[in-house]
Order: sequence, then C-alpha cells, then structure tokens
Amino acid sequence: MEIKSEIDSNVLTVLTDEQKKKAMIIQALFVIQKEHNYLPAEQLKQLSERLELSTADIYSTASFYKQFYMQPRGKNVVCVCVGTACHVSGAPEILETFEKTFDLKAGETDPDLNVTLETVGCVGCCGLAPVVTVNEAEILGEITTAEAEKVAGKVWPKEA
Amino acid sequence: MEPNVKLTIDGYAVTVPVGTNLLEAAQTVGVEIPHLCYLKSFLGIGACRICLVEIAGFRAPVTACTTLVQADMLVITDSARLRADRKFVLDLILSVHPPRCGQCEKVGVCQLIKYASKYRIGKSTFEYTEIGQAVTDPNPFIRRDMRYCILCGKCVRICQGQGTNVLAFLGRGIKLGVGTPAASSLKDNGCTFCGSCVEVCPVSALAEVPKLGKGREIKYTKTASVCMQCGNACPTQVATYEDELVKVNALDNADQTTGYLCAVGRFGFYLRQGEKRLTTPLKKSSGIWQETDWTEALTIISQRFKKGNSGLIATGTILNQEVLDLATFAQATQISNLAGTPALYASNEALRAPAAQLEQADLIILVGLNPSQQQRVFPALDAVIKSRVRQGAKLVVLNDVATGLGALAEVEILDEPVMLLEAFGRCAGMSIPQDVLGATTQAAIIAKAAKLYQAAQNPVLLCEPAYYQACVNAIGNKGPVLVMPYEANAKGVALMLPAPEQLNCRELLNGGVDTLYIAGEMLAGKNVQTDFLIVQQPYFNGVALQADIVLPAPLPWEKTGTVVDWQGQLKNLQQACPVPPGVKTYRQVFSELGQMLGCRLEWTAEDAVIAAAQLRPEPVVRELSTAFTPALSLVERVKLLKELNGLVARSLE
Ligand code: SF4
Ligand code: SF4
Ligand code: SF4
Ligand code: FES
Ligand code: FES
Repeated sequence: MEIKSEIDSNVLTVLTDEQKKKAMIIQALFVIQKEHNYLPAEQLKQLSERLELSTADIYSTASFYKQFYMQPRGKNVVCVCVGTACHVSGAPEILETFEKTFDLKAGETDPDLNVTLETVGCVGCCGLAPVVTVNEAEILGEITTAEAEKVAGKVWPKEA
Repeated sequence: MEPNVKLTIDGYAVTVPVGTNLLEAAQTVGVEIPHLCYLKSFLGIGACRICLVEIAGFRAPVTACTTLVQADMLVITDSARLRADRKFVLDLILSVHPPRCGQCEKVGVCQLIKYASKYRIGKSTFEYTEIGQAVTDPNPFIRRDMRYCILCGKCVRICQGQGTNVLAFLGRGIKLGVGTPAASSLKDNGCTFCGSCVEVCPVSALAEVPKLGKGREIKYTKTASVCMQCGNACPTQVATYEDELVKVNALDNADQTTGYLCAVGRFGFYLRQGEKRLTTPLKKSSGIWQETDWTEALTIISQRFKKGNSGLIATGTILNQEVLDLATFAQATQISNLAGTPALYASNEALRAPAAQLEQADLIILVGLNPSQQQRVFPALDAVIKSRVRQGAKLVVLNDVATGLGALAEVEILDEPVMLLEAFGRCAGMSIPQDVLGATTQAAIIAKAAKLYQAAQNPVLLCEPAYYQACVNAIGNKGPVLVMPYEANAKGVALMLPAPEQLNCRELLNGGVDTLYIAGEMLAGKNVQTDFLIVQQPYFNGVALQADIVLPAPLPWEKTGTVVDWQGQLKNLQQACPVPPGVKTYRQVFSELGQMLGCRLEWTAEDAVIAAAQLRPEPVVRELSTAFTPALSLVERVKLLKELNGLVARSLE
C-alpha cells in the first residue's frame, strides 16, 4: 500500500498542473451528461472556466467520443446499425423506414425530445444483421422494414 | 551541450545533437525533405506522411519528422520508391482538396501545390470528395475555408504553443476538422488575431482578409522590415503588389527570437488606412488647421529656428540613420538641445546595455513586466516566453501585481520588486541549504528562485526599465539584464544620440524651449508645453493635434535603414513601397531647412550607424542608489501600449 502511494506521488510530480486538469475532463463530462442528458454549451463553458482550460481543449475531447452528445437527446434512442454486415443485409432500407416514420434524419432529435434517431458502425452481433437497438437496452435482430415501422410506432406513438 | 550523433544522409556526413529528427538533420546539409505537417520547434506528429525516407536496415520507409537520429544511420531521402510513395500520399490528400488551384490566391506560398508540381501530379486519380466547409465568422482579419484544410494541425499547435489555445481538433474519423467549438467565432474563443495560424497554414484554408482579391501570392514582392509599433520591434516581411502593401508576415529568421506578430504588426497597416495619412504640411492659424505647401511650412520653421532657443526631439519610432541625420542637423545649425523620448522611461545605461538573446536562456527572470497577448502589452514577448517555457526554460516572476505568466512560472513572488531584488541578490551569492527550500515563507521562495539562478547556464533578467539598476545590483555579472523599452528603436536612439548637452527630453517637453521639433510619433497623450511646436509624423493624430505645424513623414515600409531592438540587435528595414507624393523624408526636411538656415550638412555614412550601434559601455557595475525615476508613471507607460489594443478592439466591434 505504501509503495503504491509512493508511485502515485511520483507520477503526480511528473504531471504538470495542466495535464492533471486535462485528465479531469472526461470525468467531468460524464457528470454533466448524466445530469442533463447531453452537454449543454453553457455547462462546458463553466467547466472550462473552472478548470482554467480553453474551450478548445474541452470540445476537442468531448467531440472525440461518440458517447458524448452536444445536442439534447430524445427520451428514446433508436439506433440503426450500418456496419458492413448490416449494410449488406438491408440496413439502408431499415434506416429509411425510421427516417420516414419519424420524419427525422439520422443524427436528429425531434423538437419535443420524443426520440433520437442514430446510426452506429457494428454493434457486434453481425449474425443477427440487420440490427437495431432501442435505448441501448433492447437489441432487435433480423429486423424487417415492417417490423421497423412497428418499433417506430411503439417508441413514438403519434396520434392519427 | 547535448552530445552529438554522426550519421549519413544522401551520402553527406551529418553531425547533429542527440534528439534531432531526420528532417532537421537533413536541413543542416541542405537536403530538403518534403513536409506539410512538420512545425519547427514542435515535436513531429507524422500526420501528412509526405516526409517518408528510407533507412538502411528498415523494411519500410519511415516519416522523417518523427524519427530521431541514431548513430551510423544511413538515410536516403530520394529514390524511385520514395517518389512513388510520396506521389500516392499527395494523390490521397488531393482527393479531398478542392481542385481549384487555378483560381487560388495562395499559389506562391501553398506547399501542397509546390509538392504536387514537384511530383508531377495535376489532379487526384480519385474522385474529389468535399470535406469540411467554409466558416461563417465575419471579422476583418482571418478567413477560414475548411474545405481546403489538409488537417496538418499546425494552426492548432502554434496557437497552443504560444498559449492562446483557441483552435482544436474537433470530431474524429471522416468528421475530423480543425476550428473553434460548435462553429463559434474566433473572437468569442479569446482569439487575439495574431494570425500565427494563418502564417503556418500550408494551404488556403486560412488566409488574411486584407489581401483577398489582391492577386496571387506568387506575384507579390517580399521585403524585410520591422514593426515599429511597440518595444518588441518584431521583424516582418512586407508583401507588396503593384506598390501597394497587401500583407505582412513574421520574418522567420533563425537567429531572431520571434516568428510571432501581434494583430497590430500583422494587420495594423490595414487598420490605419482609415486614419488620416498626412500628405501635405498643415499649419494652425488662430486655432484652425489649414493645408499649406512645403516651402511655406519650412520657411516658417526656419524663421522660428533663427530666433534661437529651439529644441529637437527624436522619438523611438524613427530609424538609426534618421536619428543621426537629426544629430547632424543639430550640430550644423548649432541647436544644442537634442534629446530622445526613450529617456522619458529608461536610463541611458539601461538602454545602452550589451545585446543579449532570450532565445538561448534556460532561465528567464521577469521583473516588473506583465506581457500579455490578450491585453496587447508586449504581446510578442508573451508569446516568446511561453514558447521558451514550452521548450524547457524556467521562469521566475518578480512583480508587485499578479501577472498572466504567473501560472507558467516555477516561482512567482509578488511584492515590491526593488525589495525582492535586494533579497534575491543576497541569496544568489550564498549557498542555500536544501531544507530551506521546502518552506513557504517569502524568504524560502526567494531562496528557491536564487537556487534556480545558481543552477542556470544562461539566465537572463528581463525587466521594466525602471528596475534596471536594481537588477544589475542584484546579480552582478552572471547573465545579462535586458530592459524592455516601449518604443521600437528606443535602444537605437540612445546609442545614436550624444548625451543631452543642455535640457533633457522632459525639460524640452515641459516648456524649456520656445520652438520644439519632434521627429516621429510621440508617445500618445503627453501634453507638450512649448510656444511653437512642430511635429513630423505619418498620421495626423496624437501629439500632432497640439502642434502649430505638422509635417508628413514616411511609414516604416517606405524607408530603408536599421533599428536596435529590445535585445540590442541591429535589424534591417528595406523600402517596400514608394514614399507617397507630398511626403518628405526626415533627411529631405533637414537638408532643406539647413539650406534655408545657410548651413552645409554632411550626412554620416551607413557604417557610422553600425559603429554607433556597437558602441557599448564596459560590462555593468553594481552601483548604489542610482535609482532612475521615469518621467512617465508606470500607468502612463502601460497606457501607451493599450493604444494598440484599442486599434484592434475597435475594428472588431
Ligand atoms: S489568430 Fe492567433 S490567437 Fe487567433 S486562432 Fe490564430 S493563432 Fe490562435
Ligand atoms: S487550417 Fe491550415 S494549418 Fe490548420 S490544420 Fe488545416 S491545413 Fe493545417
Ligand atoms: S508585438 Fe509590438 S512590435 Fe511586435 S508586431 Fe505587435 S506591435 Fe509590432
Ligand atoms: S455490422 Fe451490424 S452488428 Fe456488425
Ligand atoms: S512532415 Fe512528417 S508526416 Fe508530415
């Protein structure tokens, strides 16, 4: 235990204050996103002031990871896999189905924040292609356009 | 000194310090390896892949900018294989670069087209895919069109390296781009519009707004000059097109400290186009300004001079030769009151101290100065210190107010500088026990600074002029003391002028003479009390408004000559534009006045300037209580620099 803390403190002496602050960015972004569901510009500005880092540093980290969102997200997130296997098994048509039913383009969220439509490159279950995930919890494999329409209707029921 | 490594590049024997990369090693023997993303003094990042070289014993080519020299390496920088590889790399880059070189104004400085034509590739063999977009960010200085960006990252690194940190890589993969967060404006991200990013951009992604629509760069004539707007006296490269000044670049000269220009130096010529340039003499009669001709103006002046009790002032904004010409005129006409404005803020000893370079310093002790790019107070100095620290130099700050550089300093001590220097001087001569250093008392922190000083090979003390003697007293002979003057040629004026025979500059300005002539732009805001005031300067502003006669003068890029910069180095200016009709040089004016006064003037030759510039006193000595009291308060002095900031700030509104 003692040895470990000695190593820790040695590591800290070689890190500059700036590096220590930069190491904080990702943790801070997670906290902000957890609270707001996305990364509001105002929060990022405050973060840059608190850490005394430029907004350039914060945004360049935030924009590198697909897991961080700069725009508000919908209550439900539908994600169409467009990886190679899914692509050849008809992902483009599936995506088009969702785009039409939601009247959204990939990457967009409706103004009332009901749903966000996204794409991803390979979820890792190519045997089930084409694949769609809902809220990163439900994985729908071998999906057809008819099923896609049903999923869409369930996720965001619109009055007739 | 780092130990050396010997290797062979294209058959040349090369000896360079350990840690040199192959790209720079090759440059030492004149072998130029193509490169697009390598930025001098920064670590290579290997982004563009065009600097590929072959090394004996390596299977595949490697990037020269990221490969460090090793003993006995055998490097080949040109072969059929490398040419084919580079051609392919260029083919890929061009596939995402707009195929519009025919209309591009950057041709002449664009590195991409330079290599494309060298490797004979006209158009990409791939289909062109547009990535990035033109950025909407209206401002008078920088145009961004990211469709042209080749993602070399130089702009990001230079902006970070100088400590402004406005630009970033954003996104990743095919969406990777360079710019400001969420397409916000440069201004909102704290950009100072120094234009360093434009300077390093190898393509047309970043460009200076003033030169847009003014032809292709290949047609520009480039001339070396110096920015005369503040004490930094940054070396510049002035570009003209059909005798019109179209842009200003930093002069990248290995032995100069800075490749940096602030917005004033780079874009000032353009900002000042709105101001009233004098092209004819003006005289004030019963409170009203009137245009007049040269004969009348000079006749009035010569009559005033004939009456006697006259004085002449050289400002720190004119060139060495012009100062000497003024001295020649003074001597011939027996006007014995001759002084220079630098004496308002610095002692003669401080200004005439030997030359020294910050570039080699491993420890910089900054006394009483608070340089800042954001506030535009010695912005180039701020950038230089930041990049020195990035390269490993240590920084100690002694000041009575917190400084912007404090965060980078190894030690920052905030208290009255003269007192701190005395304590520091005592410590510097003693051996400091290790156990003192852990404490946080002021004495211990001063001891820590002294310890750094003792360990340094090339310490440099850089101070506000008022602290010169206190600095010299503190350290004696180890390391030079450099003062930062407020005017570009302050040191030149002090070296060219004899010590004032009768009245000093302050006395001259405070009504010591009846007739006073001022050559060059005077420090703004100074109230001049004299019966009859003559001012010769390029613009109708500042002290000229208090004058009785105003004479037009040439701008720095309209003349040839030298200045002695803040580091005591002689720097050259070459005339890039003709003197506009109606404007006379200082020498023409002195010569015509001399004739009217019946005196023969014999100009000093150019080598006299160089001799005078090298005329330095013996090494500095410690003296007790030779405190120098500047005529202008610190607030007034710093205000002079803020004027620059105002010029830029107003243009951004
Ligand atoms: S102009 Fe200067 S401060 Fe602004 S982005 Fe470019 S390098 Fe950075
Ligand atoms: S804008 Fe210019 S300097 Fe910056 S990354 Fe693009 S090509 Fe390089
Ligand atoms: S720092 Fe001073 S000398 Fe250098 S470019 Fe700016 S105004 Fe000119
Ligand atoms: S490509 Fe869609 S799961 Fe692998
Ligand atoms: S210069 Fe070496 S990879 Fe770009």
